[in-house]
Amino acid sequence: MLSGVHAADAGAVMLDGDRIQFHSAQDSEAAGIAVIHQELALVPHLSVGENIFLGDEPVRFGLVDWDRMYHDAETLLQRLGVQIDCRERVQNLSVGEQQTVEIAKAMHKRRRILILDEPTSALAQDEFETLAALLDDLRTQGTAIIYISHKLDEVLRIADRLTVLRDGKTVDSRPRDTWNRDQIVRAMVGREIEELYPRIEHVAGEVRFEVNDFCVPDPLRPGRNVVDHVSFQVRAGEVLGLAGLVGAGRSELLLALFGYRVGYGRVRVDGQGLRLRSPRDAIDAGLALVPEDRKQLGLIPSFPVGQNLSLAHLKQFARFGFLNDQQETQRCAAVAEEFRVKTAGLDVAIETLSGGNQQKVVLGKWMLVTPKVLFLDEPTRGIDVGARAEIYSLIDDLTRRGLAVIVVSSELPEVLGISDRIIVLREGRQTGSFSREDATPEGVMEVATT
Amino acid sequence: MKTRRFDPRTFSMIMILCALWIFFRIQVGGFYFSGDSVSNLTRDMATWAILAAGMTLVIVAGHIDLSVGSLMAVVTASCAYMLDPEYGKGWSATAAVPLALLIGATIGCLQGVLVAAFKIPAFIVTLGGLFVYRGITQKVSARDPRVPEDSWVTAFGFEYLPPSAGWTVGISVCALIALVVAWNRVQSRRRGLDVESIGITIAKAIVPGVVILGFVHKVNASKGVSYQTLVMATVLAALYVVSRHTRFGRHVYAIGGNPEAARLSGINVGRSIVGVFTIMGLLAGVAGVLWMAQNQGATKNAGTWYELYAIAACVIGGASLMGGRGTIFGTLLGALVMATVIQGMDYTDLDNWMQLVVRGSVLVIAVGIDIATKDPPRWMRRLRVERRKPEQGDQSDG
Repeated sequence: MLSGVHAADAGAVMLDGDRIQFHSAQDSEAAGIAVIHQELALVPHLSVGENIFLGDEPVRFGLVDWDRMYHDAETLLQRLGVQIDCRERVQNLSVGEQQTVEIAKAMHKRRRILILDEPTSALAQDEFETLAALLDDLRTQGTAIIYISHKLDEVLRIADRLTVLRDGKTVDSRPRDTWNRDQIVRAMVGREIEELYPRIEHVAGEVRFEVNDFCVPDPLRPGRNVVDHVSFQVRAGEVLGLAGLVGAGRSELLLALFGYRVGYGRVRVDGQGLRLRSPRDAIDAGLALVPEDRKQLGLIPSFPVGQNLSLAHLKQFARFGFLNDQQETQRCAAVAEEFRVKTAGLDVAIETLSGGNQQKVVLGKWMLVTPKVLFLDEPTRGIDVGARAEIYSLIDDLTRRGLAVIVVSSELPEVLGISDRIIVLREGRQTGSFSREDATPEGVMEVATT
Repeated sequence: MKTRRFDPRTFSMIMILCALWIFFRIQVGGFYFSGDSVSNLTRDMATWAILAAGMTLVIVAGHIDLSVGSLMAVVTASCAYMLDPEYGKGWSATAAVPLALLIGATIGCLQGVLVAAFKIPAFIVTLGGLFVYRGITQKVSARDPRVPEDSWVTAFGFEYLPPSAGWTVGISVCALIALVVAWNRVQSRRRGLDVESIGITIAKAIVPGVVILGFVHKVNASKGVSYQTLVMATVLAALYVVSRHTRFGRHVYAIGGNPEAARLSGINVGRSIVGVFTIMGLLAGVAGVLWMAQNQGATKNAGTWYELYAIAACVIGGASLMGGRGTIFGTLLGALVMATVIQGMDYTDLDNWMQLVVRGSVLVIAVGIDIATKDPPRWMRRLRVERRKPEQGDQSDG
């Protein structure tokens, strides 16, 4: 809303004591507000310098003054204390570096107010510290920063003042020192939660899923592997956590095990060897994958809720290729209810659902036929605390039903909280393995980083 | 899945169509709504409306086919060549027509393989095809092959269903629609699903029936339902069923909406794309045979610009060139709009150059109206907000 994309119904926005009104993103920019969204707004095939100066390139005689642009860009990046080649194309940078470029862009335009919306959803833990240091600098230079995040540690680390919103209303707004973690969680949830993660003992059964010497080649660097000779087993009714930093190859491993990208190695489900040429093979063998990026891989945006649910298992509603609409509706309604999807109906556009409910749809779509093995890649990314707890309890239910579950998460407390066993990947290699009892944040972090 | 609520855009399309009809009725006079006029309208649009039906699937899948006009011409030329006793082979239509359809389907399939397996953009593949097939057409139809008058295939150019047969077909179709609607209601109830009010169910069964029977009544006043119209209706009905009620159709929509998510859901994307282009090729074949029957032979200019009519019909009918959205019913409405404009201008003796200007403008205006009602650009939205009372303001969710 502040960025001018949405209009306000009521109330006032005050900037330096003046009441202001935004009709468009341009108005808001003119007022000195810069917004850095969850999805970065850089042009990937332009250079860092070009991106920073996008829209007001230095001009000489009607032509772009490249020397001045790159020189200015360099000084700007130096002031931010980062080492980025400003002639490099943005697409070759890491997500963290791209974010820095966005901030540099905001600085260049002399923005007085910086709004960051979930900036760390794509960052690894160590990259957050760099960002935090950068923001500290900006703060001392007199920039006002609004930092929006679901991650409590970050907010507590960065903020001077904390405001909790729930369902579009301000619940509380106080200086940082008066808050502690539990209070924030309570304010966010609106009810006391003893613990976010259900601490339940799972009774593990037979080995369900077995991976031996699995490798995933790197498409960008021939001859090297993103995932290198990884082996593990998961039992029925067990949750295996895959920990590691961003870029450690966890998502790639899951996608390859699902036949979505190329991978080599032996994979067995219930002792049966598997050939994975396409996701269809994996689905037929009883595998299911909730991908990291809902929008990109999980959902068909033009489909209503019901059709998204039934997409992977249409065969069971088809006779000679013709679909039985009523049977499909009935089954999808049952799954939507079982997975507590809050929706006005199955024919509602999927985009109108909240992130948490969309995620339940992505999870539910695999449950039309109960799978044997469930892969979850960042199952709670971009989801509020209430829906999170629901997702955890759904995972727990499924595990009790005898599924073998593999969870990838960048949030250490999450992996530690829901996994029965944890293996750690670093740069594609398996560097550690923990049982639930010996897993500590420090221990896992150590093998993930060094 | 359950039928969605009535689309306001479909409604606005129908309004545009009615407005056009009223406009031309005033311009042309009493002849405009006569049986002859209605019959001509639905007969002349048959060839490219069939192309538009196939094009809808292609566009929904997120691709485009620029070659359909030329592809149709190739089929027309080769079919006429096979039939012509003088310069060509002089085969019987029973052999030549299936072979011609096969040619269309094969070429379509080939284009699909180039798009799906070799990852060449459909725009490029079919743009190349547009030239290649036109070239081949010129060679094959160099001597303007003729169809012998006693061949059964000429019926598709000049025959009409006798009135009694027209009524029989019309009434059977109405009965079928009513039966399906009733069956769906019974099934939904049996499975304990939400059932729409009985009024809507009855409307669903009655409205298409009234339109169909009204049409039959009208054209029976002249010569009856033409074979071309019948073929077009059959193709549209078949593609409607394919797009709405088959697994293949659902896959096509999913691929157009998000190809990567579709693949992750276990859909064989390549195979579906090849399927879509094969259907497109087959329909180009059907349209080609019809064109040949109408013109009793082939010329090297057969089907010029038909690809653009087909694409225009789809787009006016609400198909998104980004893929994922579009319906056969919308395309039928779009085709009717195009056909109405073309026919109306013929009746009003508009100059040829002016006709082209109007056809193009209709396309842009129709899509413009659609976008203005569905997803208006920001400046337009602001105009609307300012015209409203200030305290109501705009909806906000930020």
